[in-house]
Amino acid sequence: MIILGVFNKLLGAVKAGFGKNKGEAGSPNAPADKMLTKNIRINEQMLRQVYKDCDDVKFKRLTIPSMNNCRALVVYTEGLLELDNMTRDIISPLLAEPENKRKIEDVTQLIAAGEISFSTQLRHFTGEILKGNIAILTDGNDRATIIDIKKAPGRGVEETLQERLIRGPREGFTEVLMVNQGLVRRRLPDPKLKVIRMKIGRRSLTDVSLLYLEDVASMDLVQEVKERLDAIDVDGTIETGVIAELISERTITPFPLHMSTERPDKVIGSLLQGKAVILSDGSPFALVVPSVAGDWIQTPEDYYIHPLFATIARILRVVGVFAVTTLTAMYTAVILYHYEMIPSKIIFFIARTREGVPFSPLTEALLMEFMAELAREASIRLPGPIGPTLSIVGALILGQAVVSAKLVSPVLLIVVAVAFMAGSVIPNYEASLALRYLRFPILVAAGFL
Amino acid sequence: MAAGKKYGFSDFQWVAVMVSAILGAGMMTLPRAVGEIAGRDGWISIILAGFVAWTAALIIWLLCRKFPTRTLPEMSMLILGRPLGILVSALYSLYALVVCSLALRILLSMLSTWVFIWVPVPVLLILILIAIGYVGRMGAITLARLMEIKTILAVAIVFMFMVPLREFVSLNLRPVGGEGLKILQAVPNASFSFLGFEVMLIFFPFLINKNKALKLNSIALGLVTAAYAAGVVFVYGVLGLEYTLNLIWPLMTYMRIGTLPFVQRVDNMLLFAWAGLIISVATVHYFSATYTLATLSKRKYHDIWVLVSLPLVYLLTNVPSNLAETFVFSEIVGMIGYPFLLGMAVLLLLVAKIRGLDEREGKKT
Amino acid sequence: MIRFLFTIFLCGLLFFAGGCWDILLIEDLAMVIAIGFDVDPENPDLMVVTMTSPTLSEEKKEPMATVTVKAESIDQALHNVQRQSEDILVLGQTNVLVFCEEFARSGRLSEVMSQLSQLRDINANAKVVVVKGATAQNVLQLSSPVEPRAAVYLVDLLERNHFTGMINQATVSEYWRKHYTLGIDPVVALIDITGHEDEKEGFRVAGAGLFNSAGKMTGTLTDEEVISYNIITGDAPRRRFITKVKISGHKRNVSGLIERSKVKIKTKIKDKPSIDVRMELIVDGLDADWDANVLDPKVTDKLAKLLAKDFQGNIQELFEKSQKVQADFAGLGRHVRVQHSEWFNGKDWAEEYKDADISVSVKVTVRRIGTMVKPES
Repeated sequence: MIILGVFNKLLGAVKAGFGKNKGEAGSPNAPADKMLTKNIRINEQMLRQVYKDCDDVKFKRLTIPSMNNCRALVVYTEGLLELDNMTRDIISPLLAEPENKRKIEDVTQLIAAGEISFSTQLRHFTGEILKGNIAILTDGNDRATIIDIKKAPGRGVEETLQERLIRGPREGFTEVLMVNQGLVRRRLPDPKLKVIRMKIGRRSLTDVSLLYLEDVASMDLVQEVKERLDAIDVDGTIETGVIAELISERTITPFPLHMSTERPDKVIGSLLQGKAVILSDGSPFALVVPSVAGDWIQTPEDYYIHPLFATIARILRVVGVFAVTTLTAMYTAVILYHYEMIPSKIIFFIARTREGVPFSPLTEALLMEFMAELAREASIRLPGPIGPTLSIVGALILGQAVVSAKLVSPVLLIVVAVAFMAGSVIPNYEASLALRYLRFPILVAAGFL
Repeated sequence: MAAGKKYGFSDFQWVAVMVSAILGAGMMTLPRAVGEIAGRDGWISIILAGFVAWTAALIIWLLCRKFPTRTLPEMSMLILGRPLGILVSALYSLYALVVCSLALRILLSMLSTWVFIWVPVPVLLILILIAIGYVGRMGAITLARLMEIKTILAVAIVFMFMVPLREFVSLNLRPVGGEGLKILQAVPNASFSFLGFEVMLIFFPFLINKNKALKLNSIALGLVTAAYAAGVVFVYGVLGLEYTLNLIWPLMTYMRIGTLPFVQRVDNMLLFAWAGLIISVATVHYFSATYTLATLSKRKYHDIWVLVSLPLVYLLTNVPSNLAETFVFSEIVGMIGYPFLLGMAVLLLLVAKIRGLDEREGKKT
Repeated sequence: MIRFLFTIFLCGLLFFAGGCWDILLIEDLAMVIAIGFDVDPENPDLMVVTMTSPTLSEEKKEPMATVTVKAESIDQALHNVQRQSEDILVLGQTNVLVFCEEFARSGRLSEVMSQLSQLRDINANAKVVVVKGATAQNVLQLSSPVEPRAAVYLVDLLERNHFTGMINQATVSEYWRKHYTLGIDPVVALIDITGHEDEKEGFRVAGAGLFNSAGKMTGTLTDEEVISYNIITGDAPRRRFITKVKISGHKRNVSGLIERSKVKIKTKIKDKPSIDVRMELIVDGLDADWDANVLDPKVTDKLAKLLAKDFQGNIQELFEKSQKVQADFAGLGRHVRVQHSEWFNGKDWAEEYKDADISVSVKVTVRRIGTMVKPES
């Protein structure tokens, strides 16, 4: 526990590093509080200054006939929107309008695509442009029109890799917030499902959504989550994991205080239970808060299959939790100190297999656990097709070799393998990580007393 | 210490804390202690002792009910005035610390008899004290949650306990009630094992459903009585009275008979599980003692007192020089405990009545 | 910073305060699986103790290491054996204790048993066996062709025979309990050696040894009588019997299973205790060689009555035998204590038992007879 505490503290320090540079306030390329002027040339100069050396930002000069041939400037970022759509939905209506309108606000009413907003603050809309929105500036007007037609590059909805089910929906979240929200909303078309949008990160301006069911969730909880999200002050959040780290209480625990999932159905289930869900752009993982230890061993499948088998599966997972943390430790303690607990039928067999093994059971167990962790890490890091092959090679050949070289006893190998499998039974990745590493201190403690 | 006002003990946590505070070292020696006087009807004495403890808990509950937001030090200072209140509360903390050290002492004797034969006792004690200090440093809610988990896990102990029952012979318990008045004589001895319910004085303000306190207390004491009585019945039924009386740790000999397919000796398993129960008894008492001291010294958190009291517990644990003295000490503490606690409660109740102090809702203060 | 230092301190403590004081690494142990006790012919105060433990490594020739020492007590014996052993001697896996008959008859078995109960790691479920006509050392050093490890063979023999109802259950803890409890006396298993004097081949279960309340073995039950013993006490899980009854002038072999048995014991005190043992047996799967039609209810009834008479006689004999040696093996004293506790308290039960009137009545119900209508036609 203590070692983990220290470890956790170190981790906390690393994570806190993300938000350390409070001194440099604001985004450097947007001069604070600079307002647009009515002169479009000055505005263009200002914008070009801001986007200096940002070659992916494009400027397009136009003349709008319906506004007395008013000069206009369209600014957008290539790659974040489709040019065809832009031409068809925005530029063409602007140019083709025969009637004599006076104001850009009136003209934009004819544009079919996208959500439209207005802004006079340079700082506000420079970011919007970089996220894939189009800004239209017109001469004689100090307000920029921002049209949202962004189409971010990203993958489609696919099956999740990590939380697989045999019986249940195959869809998983993607990296695009809108898609994720849609996946949730489609399953829960209830106006009481509230989606609160906020931006987090001074530089990244990440869109983050807080979802909850108004009449089910406790408002205290929602308020608390909102406050903690608002209090986040970092340059950027890349993943919901960072948000989770930033909004959780500063306690020394290796266990996750939230639940993260890639599955929309799991999110729906949590929402219906009255929990709050945080979705972030750029991350396929939803954060469910608050979470308790019982959530570690639940999968959505439990609700789709017969209750009897679901209950059995859950009991199995509880046993798995105990096995992954204590099985090796128990074996070591019994072999080292409490031989009388082993039934006579097997003790002589164990003793005979241990005869000639050079290490003490503790060293032996630590060695094997270390090897098991190595194999696991290696199979994650290796590229797709090789991974499973190598882990099988590691498990079979290495295990066989180690036993026949009499470096470890075969019984220990069985115990370690069972503990290893038990660790894979826990559906929640973060919890299983914590539990898996918890067995090392327990093992050491078991070996020393 | 995330104790906002909305947090508190749930019903089950209350029962868990009460059970944890009571159920502990008593079980290990109770079969012999009651059997020496009441013979094979010892379990009846235990049930009667449960009633005695329930009555005592009732008196304490009457006191707590009057001051639903105050712990013992606060209410005693309010009722008796500052100097006397401090005296009473300090005596209580001393008592709680002594109970804590005695429980630890019995645990240590047991551990060094059965499993840790060569481990020096101070090392064991220090390791246990670190754990107690670590848990005791946290808030009451954390303690309650821990006890909750522990109580659920105690179900495993119940199963372990039933393993030797295939050797049960009901003839060993009959004739029921044959000992007559001796059953009553053994009640005081048996009721010492029920001490621990007084932690209510400290934890009562944390309970959310205060109007259910009496019911929850009854459940807790009922569970403990059932556990003790069942333990004695099982041990007598399997070992027989005469053999039980000849054993220092009857329960351990009883458990030695049990075997499971994958564990040849259940006694070791039970001992470790039971060590958890005894440590939780010590922890709850340690917490209430340090919490009282912290309130007396007007500290919001009791971290300092937790650290300061640990050496004291260490010293108190080393006071009895051998096992015989340990048992004499525990008897003395039991004999002092009841009069002290009841006297304190009755005194506070009377003075509160005379001074007209009552903080219940709808009553004048 | 203080917290950090404190954490480091705790980590350090974990490594240094913890220790290996109680280490018992299993491959370093000499796990004694059987202990034999004999009387020393030269010095009656000493006993000859034999301990066998399996040798673990494959290079050693013998599968078991057997050491014999002389000692005054079990603790001294452990010391003496340890001096000859390369491993740490432990008793946690001891599965059988073998005593020679003289040892049991002199009452030293009880002494040893109470010394053993003081040992922390003794296995309370170890079997207690008295060997007839040989020494325990002989038994443990036997090497039968089937199983070279005599001790393991003995343990299996006792366990299987108890399961099949050939022998009573006799464990260490049972001995302790029965020895201390008033109104019941211990019973142990009995084995004897097969083969002849010069060449001992193996051993077989041979009945039970009866102990009196002073802890001396005073009598034995034969292997046939143990079956009656098991029927009375309900000791073994599977109870079978073989007997001979006289049917229409011929002695016939009858065997069967006892499906259920009920024993009711009623006691009366006049000038001496009189005990009425009433048994109801339900017999199933009876097997007999005769020429009557077994589907005829009259035949079944008749057979039931004949069997009842037979059982009654056997059990009555058993009780009389036990009264002679003052060994209350069935715990009749406990029933007297329960039913007349005031009378029982002041009395020496062993003396009273000797003169008690014991009357047995058996009622047999036959459920089913064999699989042939006329077994011998």
